[in-house]
Amino acid sequence: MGADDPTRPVQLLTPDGRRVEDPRFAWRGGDTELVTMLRRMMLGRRLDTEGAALQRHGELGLWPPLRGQEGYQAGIAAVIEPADMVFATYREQALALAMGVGVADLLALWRGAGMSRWDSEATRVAPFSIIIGSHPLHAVGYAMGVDLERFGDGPVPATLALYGDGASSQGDVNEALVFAAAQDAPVVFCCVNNQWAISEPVTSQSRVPLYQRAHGFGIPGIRVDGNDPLAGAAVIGWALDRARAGHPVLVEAYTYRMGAHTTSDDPGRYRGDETSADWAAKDPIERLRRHLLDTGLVDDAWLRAMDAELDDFGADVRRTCRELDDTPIERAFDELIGEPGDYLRAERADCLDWLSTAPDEGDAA
Amino acid sequence: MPSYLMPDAGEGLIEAVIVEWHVSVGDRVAVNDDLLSVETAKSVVELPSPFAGTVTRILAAEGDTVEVGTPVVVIDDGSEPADANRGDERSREHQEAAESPAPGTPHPGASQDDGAVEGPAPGAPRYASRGAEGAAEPSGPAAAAPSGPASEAGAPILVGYGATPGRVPPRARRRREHAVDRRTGARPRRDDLQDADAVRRATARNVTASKDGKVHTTAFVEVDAGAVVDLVATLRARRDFAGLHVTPLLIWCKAVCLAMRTNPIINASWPSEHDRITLHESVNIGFAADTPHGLLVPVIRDAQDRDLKDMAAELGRLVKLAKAGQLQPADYSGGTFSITNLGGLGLDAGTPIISGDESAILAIGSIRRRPWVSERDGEEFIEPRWTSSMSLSFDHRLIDGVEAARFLSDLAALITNPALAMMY
Repeated sequence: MGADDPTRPVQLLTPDGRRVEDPRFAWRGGDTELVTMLRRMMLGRRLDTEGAALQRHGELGLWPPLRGQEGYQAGIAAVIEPADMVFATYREQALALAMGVGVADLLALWRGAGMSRWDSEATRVAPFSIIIGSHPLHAVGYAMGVDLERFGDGPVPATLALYGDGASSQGDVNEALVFAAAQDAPVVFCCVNNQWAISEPVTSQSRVPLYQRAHGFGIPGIRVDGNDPLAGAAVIGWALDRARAGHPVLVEAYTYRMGAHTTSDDPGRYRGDETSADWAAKDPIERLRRHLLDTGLVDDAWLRAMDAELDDFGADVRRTCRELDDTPIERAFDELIGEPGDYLRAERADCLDWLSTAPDEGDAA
Repeated sequence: MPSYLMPDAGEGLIEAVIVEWHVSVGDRVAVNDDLLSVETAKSVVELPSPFAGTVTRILAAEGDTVEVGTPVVVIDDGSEPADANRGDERSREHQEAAESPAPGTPHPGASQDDGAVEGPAPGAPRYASRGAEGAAEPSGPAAAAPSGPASEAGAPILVGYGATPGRVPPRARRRREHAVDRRTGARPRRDDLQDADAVRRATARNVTASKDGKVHTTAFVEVDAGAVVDLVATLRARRDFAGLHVTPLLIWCKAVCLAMRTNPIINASWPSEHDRITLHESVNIGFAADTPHGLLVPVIRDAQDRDLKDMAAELGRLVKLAKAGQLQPADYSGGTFSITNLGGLGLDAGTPIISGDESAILAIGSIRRRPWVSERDGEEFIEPRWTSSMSLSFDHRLIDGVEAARFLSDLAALITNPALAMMY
């Protein structure tokens, strides 16, 4: 791929930690933000490691590993603004964590102890949608609502919809793009191309690079190195600004899922080690760590302190998980629908009555 | 001193096979050090330790099939030498609740005790009975019941079944505990009770589904297989077939492909009476192979496009992989028709069960010297010939008797006289 190749992802930080320039996009953050990004990526990765282990400990029913996808998530966290709204996938735990979603809330979903425990208003992170590709529609609807409240020609908060390469093959996602383009919704689509839709490679899903699909919908599309947090911040930041001005954009974050689809999946059955090894050399954390060491923004002492902090964080994650209480079943009735109506009220009473009965009596009935 | 319970490493799995232990008694482990690797219905996974400490007991050996919720290793983390448990607060709380019925709760009477045997065990995860995603897993009362040491170990907490204090009446828990205790050895056993392992249960499910969903009918025909025996000998003598898998099965596979051309309904699927019956373009022949790893059914894909040499090479490759236990999913999926060779078992005929979405299966009987009525120069006489029989089980929902008969007689003609392949 030559420098002019539009399929070449925008990159501002090379895998070996060198800063490079791009004619269109620039990293505008300061040194503090760089260190924050490294911290957030490391925390995200540790959460992921612990989450996967907790599943094996029998404490979680399932966990979707995010390893390798920390880069664009840290980039987004650096440029998202307090009034913006994020509709992410369940693999964006590092982003959610950075935006203030609690560890307990993130774990509860996978422990069967609560579906959407965090406050979406406060955190600006919508509940994770397990149904693949459903939430870009929610995001567009939300963005259209935000646009209706726009005062004059001023900017509006942006809405960000993240979805995977597999989701891009779904009708819902394409409908969302059609609506966003037709309505000029203030939304950014971030298609996280991690190369694999569970066991299906992206090459079998699309004959064109995914960002090029944007052109068919009539909106700009651009590809960014998803493992480069600086480029992620620059490109998503640009896209969010564009959305705030009232125009949708599609960004393809080109990355790689280093781990399994979920803890129930065994990628060894459908992909080889060679490609994974190539991508391991493009690790988002390693490249920023090198860069910050080279430029003196962090030193070995900082990294040692960070390791100690991560160990405490890991222990905290494990304790938090084990201490999670199940959500009382009433809440499924009380919190899902504002005005439940007679039918649901009767069903709620029936359910609680059934649960208060000894199970074997109930089974016999 | 906590013990580590076999987790559900997938979604709704009920057991796992221990592949390898990475630790031995006396080893020190840190949190998240790998303890062992296990194989589930879906994958081989590493299981990391939830505890830091010293391994004091290993409760299951490599090769053992262990039910989810059963303790597999005890690790001394310096905590109280209490009953084996998970060592976290929730577990203890649950255990206490299970052991001490609330004041005023009536003790279950004898008759209730008897009735309680059928209840699910306390550790049974709710989703174990869901069935949809964990398609391979049956649900049942004993699905995740702790066995062996587990019943001593207090109720294991499994994801999604955490004890919410006060929710489930203590009486119910109490009764369920009895149920578990009585299942696991309180009484002497007279009959030899064997666990139905995952493969056995999967087999049971598959054959039951086939019998329930299809109308099995079997037709038989006897054939003079002398020409097949000659053809096999001829091919084996050829240099270009040297080292290839040349057996009567190979000839049958080829003959089936030819006979399918004029009888496409034999190579069809009609799952659950959909609106449409699929007549498959490809003839993917599954053949039953008895291996050290159990009965496997590798599939010769696109058999209709293969010449004899290609077919022999593929047959040989699949047999080799099956024996070595190295078949990949692609090697045993997608079958559209099956052949089972009864000859190796010394049987002459059978009524095989149609597999999966297929609509027919052919059983080839043993090829033996038998008396056969021959005719030469207008005279009949009895002579010893290599003969065999074919049994075709077909799904009568979509295949009429006359269609099955036409296929079988076309096939018999090709077996009796392979030169008729010239017609195709």
